[in-house]
Amino acid sequence: MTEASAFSAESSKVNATKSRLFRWLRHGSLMLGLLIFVTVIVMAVFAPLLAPYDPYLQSLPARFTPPVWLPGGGWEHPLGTDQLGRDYLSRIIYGAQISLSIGVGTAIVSGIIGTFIGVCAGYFGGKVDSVAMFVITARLAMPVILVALAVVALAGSSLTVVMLTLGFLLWDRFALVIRATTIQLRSSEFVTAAELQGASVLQIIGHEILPNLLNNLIVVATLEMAQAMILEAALSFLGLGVPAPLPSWGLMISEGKASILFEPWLITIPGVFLFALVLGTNLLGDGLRDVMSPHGRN
Amino acid sequence: MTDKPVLELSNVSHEYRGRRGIFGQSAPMLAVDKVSLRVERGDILGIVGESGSGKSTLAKIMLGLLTPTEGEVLLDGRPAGSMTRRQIAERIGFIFQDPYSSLNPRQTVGKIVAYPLYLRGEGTSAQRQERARKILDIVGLPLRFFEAYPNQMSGGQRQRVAIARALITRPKLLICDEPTSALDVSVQAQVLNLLLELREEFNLMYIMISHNMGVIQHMTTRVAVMYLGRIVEMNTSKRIFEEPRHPYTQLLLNSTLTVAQGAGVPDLKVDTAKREAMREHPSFIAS
Amino acid sequence: MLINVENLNIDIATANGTLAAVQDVSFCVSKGETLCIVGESGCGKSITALSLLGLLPKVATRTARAMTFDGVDMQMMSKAELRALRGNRLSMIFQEPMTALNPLHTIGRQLLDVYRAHRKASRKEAKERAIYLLEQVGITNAVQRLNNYPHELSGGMRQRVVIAMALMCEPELIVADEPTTALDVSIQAELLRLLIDLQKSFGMGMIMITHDLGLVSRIADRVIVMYAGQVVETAPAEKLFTNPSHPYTRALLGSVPDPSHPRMKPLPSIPGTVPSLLNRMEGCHFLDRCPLASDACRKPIQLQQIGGNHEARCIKVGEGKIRLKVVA
Repeated sequence: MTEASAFSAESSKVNATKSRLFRWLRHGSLMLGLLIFVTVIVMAVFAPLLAPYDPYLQSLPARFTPPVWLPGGGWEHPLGTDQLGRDYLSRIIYGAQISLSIGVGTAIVSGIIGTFIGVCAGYFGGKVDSVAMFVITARLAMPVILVALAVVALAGSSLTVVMLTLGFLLWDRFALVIRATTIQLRSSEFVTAAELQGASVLQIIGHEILPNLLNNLIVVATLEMAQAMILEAALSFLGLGVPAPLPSWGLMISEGKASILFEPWLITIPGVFLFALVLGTNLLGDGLRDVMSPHGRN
Repeated sequence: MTDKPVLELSNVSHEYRGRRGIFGQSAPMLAVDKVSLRVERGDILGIVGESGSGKSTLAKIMLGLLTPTEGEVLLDGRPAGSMTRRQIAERIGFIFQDPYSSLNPRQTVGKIVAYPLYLRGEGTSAQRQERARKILDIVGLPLRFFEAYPNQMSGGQRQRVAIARALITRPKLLICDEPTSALDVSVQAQVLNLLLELREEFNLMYIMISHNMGVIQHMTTRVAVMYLGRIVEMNTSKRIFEEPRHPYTQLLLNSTLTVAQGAGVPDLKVDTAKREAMREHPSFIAS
Repeated sequence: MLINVENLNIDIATANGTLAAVQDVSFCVSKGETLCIVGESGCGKSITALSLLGLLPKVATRTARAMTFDGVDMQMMSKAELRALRGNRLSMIFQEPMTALNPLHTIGRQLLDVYRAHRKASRKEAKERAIYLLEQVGITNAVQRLNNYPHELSGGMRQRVVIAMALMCEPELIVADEPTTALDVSIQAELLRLLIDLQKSFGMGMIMITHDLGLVSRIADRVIVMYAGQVVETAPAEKLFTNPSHPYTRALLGSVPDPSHPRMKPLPSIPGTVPSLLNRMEGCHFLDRCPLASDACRKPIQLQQIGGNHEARCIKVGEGKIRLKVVA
């Protein structure tokens, strides 16, 4: 099979960009994930243009209007209204902003922490590695939801607090993946070459190691984003996440749970959106791992 | 100029400490055993030996990556231990065996070649690029590769990049660890020719580490044969190949399959007794 | 005749189109005969070997006018029939012994499993055979060695075990892909000697895939030289080495550093690089690198008879000695 891979290496030489594009397009679930993810980004970015109403505008006479496909619903409120008469479609659209900012913010915070720990552990090895591994193990022993609940309860709930709390809790996967890759890179000959030329540790990490971690970082960040979005929804559902009246999807589910028997769509609609976004983000992460890893090139 | 040897090893030994585990310390391993050699102007010294003979450990010691447990390494007559990495790099360059892993896949060829100059803070960015272009031209790479990434190049072209990177700081001595064993035969010839050409142009000395006796015979002026950490025979290349003295050298030469139609594969009959004899046989060091 | 292959073609689907990896390759091997397929990386030699064993990657498609093993059409065989053939009458040895050995099982278990997968034999019989073969391949303490795991053996030892494993079911044909390249020279010579001694005493046919012309010159009965997916020259070994006819064969022979060259002087080498097989080439594949190329070489070229089973894919075969350029 080595010959076959030699051939594909040669062919990618012919037109690297074209072949990469082709690989991306051929990967069905990657494209589905990308589609969902981009849709949600568009929702979040253009929320003021897309949303028909102000998401905070209450209208008590119009409360509990069912969505358009149920009897009593109408195009005025395509997804109906909630217990305060707020337009559900507008709240869903603005809710995308919250999910995404939690996802991206958490990924950035945890990415920085995890990369730092992972690179240090992988590059220096020995005692540094032992300490880092201990910290990672200790972190894995903490129940994420419980710790997050406690912190948010103490620090008060706000978007930033949730983001930082999750960021400080979800770096373990970054650290483990980056550590493993760094160990591999550390022993590669181009690192030895830089060392022989007199490069300092920082120069080696910045010039030789970090650029080669990029693919891994992107993949882990995507998967971590999905995880953060779910946790944010869970925290909000428990009442200790994003504070009301922000239109977080998790909070919307929580607020709808009182009327689960009579107005079940209050729960299913944000539930479906949350499910789709997390599924899409995970598909994106898995797909990126496939197309970016050298093994997935056949 | 002084007439001191560029590189001199005297009685260098290196012992790998046993790993300390729960069951105590395992036995230490003597990877290099009292090796002395010197590289002088005009030399191409070949170091041959099989895996485990200590030749890679020796290379690491010469490059300053390992500090020998015993003995001394002298560069231009000065102890290498007292030099900075940069001072060593100004004297010795290194070429790796595998051109696929010795180049950072995320950097362009131009950056890879100019990087050693950047590390030394030599010249402006434009001057460094100019020198990189010049050296790439010397090693026979067309300019269009300047912005290319290593994975867009063949093995032979990558090895040229590695040679350019090693030469840009003008070292006097180049240590080549199996420089062509990852390459095809026809490309191997190109790289060997290039090394010979560069030797003239830059007045270079080489240490060629290889297990390919054909390459060693073609490329070297002197040869050191390593076996179990020791140099068992050292002589001029001509004499090593014409009248090998040590039984291990003889074995190496006999087992080399040169192109000889119908000659068959020699029956070496290497048994425990013969190995024992090779271990016990005294070294033969001339020159 | 043991194996007969006519006009074998292998196409590989890649992102950039179809790659004609092997084009019209024909050969046959009889009992006790050694065929060497020699060429540089990417010439199609390894994938040819894999196709004989029915082990092509999914993206590859194989067509052949004929492909028979001992008179039976291999193209008509079901997967189960092919499996029954592999490791039994048709064995293989790869370059890296660790790919053939399972690190989780003792070598004894692996040797026994191979035998009992193809034979109705008791454990005792299988074990006796395993011990006999380990001794044949020069492993001392064979009985104790059966309990060793692959990682407890050195590279040379492992490759011996792989050879013993390939011989367990008394194969009629062995396909060996660079079996000794990863080993030290003295062990390399020792193992090769062993392999051909065993081949002689068991009367097996052998297809040896290699890039090492020195090795080819010493063991081959017949040689196929491949370049960019095509056979460029095929001849009995003595003819190939006394009268190499294709410019590529000559250039390849010329570029091996050996005592016949003046020391420290430039070696003849082949300028340029191997062409991409993505675009089907009409004429000679060696055209761009050949010192003799002319416009006539742009037309499709068939293998030309030189006489006595010696063929070369070159229209200039008759034109005297070919001078080789020396380039750095």
